[in-house]
Amino acid sequence: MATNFPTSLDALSNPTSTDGLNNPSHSGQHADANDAIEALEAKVGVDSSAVSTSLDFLVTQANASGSSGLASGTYYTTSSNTNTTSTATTTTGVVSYLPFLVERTTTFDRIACRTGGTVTGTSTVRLGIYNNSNKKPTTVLLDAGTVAATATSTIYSITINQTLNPGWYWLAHVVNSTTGTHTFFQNADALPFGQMPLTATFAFQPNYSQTGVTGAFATASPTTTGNSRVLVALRVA
Amino acid sequence: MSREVVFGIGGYDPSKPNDNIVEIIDTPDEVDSQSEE
Repeated sequence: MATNFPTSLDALSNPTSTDGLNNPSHSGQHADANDAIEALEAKVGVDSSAVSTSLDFLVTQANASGSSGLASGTYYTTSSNTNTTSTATTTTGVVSYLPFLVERTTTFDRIACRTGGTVTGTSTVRLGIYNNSNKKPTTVLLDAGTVAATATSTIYSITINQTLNPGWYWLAHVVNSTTGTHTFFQNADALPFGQMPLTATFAFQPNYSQTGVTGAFATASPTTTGNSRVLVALRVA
Repeated sequence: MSREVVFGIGGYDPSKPNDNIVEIIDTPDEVDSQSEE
């Protein structure tokens, strides 16, 4: 029999220990198996396959940065239900975690925040990316380092080379220390997960933050109260 | 006018030239829906 795969699944006959070599045909058994293996190889495809129906081609296309829907050189943050930003004073040492969804494997080359209309002195601002588990920030994926923010209405960014696979992440922002005052763009109306955790009394738990962080990022132990989310953005490489 | 101050990999580093600031980009403001308090 010729293989029907991938149009349909084959129903190959298995010989028993008492069958002769001619019934079922020994050579026919090998031919059927060989045909099925070749059909499987064709469906999977060779490395860098150009056959548009092969799985290798389709997976490569799905993971290609060009198909992520994100434009190279553009900053992205989490979508908002108001599409507006605001500014607010952040508390020194309090980490703001902003949920961030990656739909296709994408490489980012900058992480950034933006100061608002009030900045005095110098603020040491740390930016980074956390992994996600159970819809909470967990371990540090990237501590990008700090920026020295000294001017109002200015984007401060750090060069990174970070590829993120599909999934949820948390963009972290904290003012480690400051000699003055500082406001930053907020993404307070960010639409986080499709499902939002509730408290025992069914109150929303939209925000996560963590106090007492005056140095490098470490494994998160966030609370559900505190700052609203600071707007942190990633630029597509 | 919008300004972006770009730090190199690792961020602020006083041991590197210009504190590791590798680029300052000034671009004209865009007309959009952003609001600032």
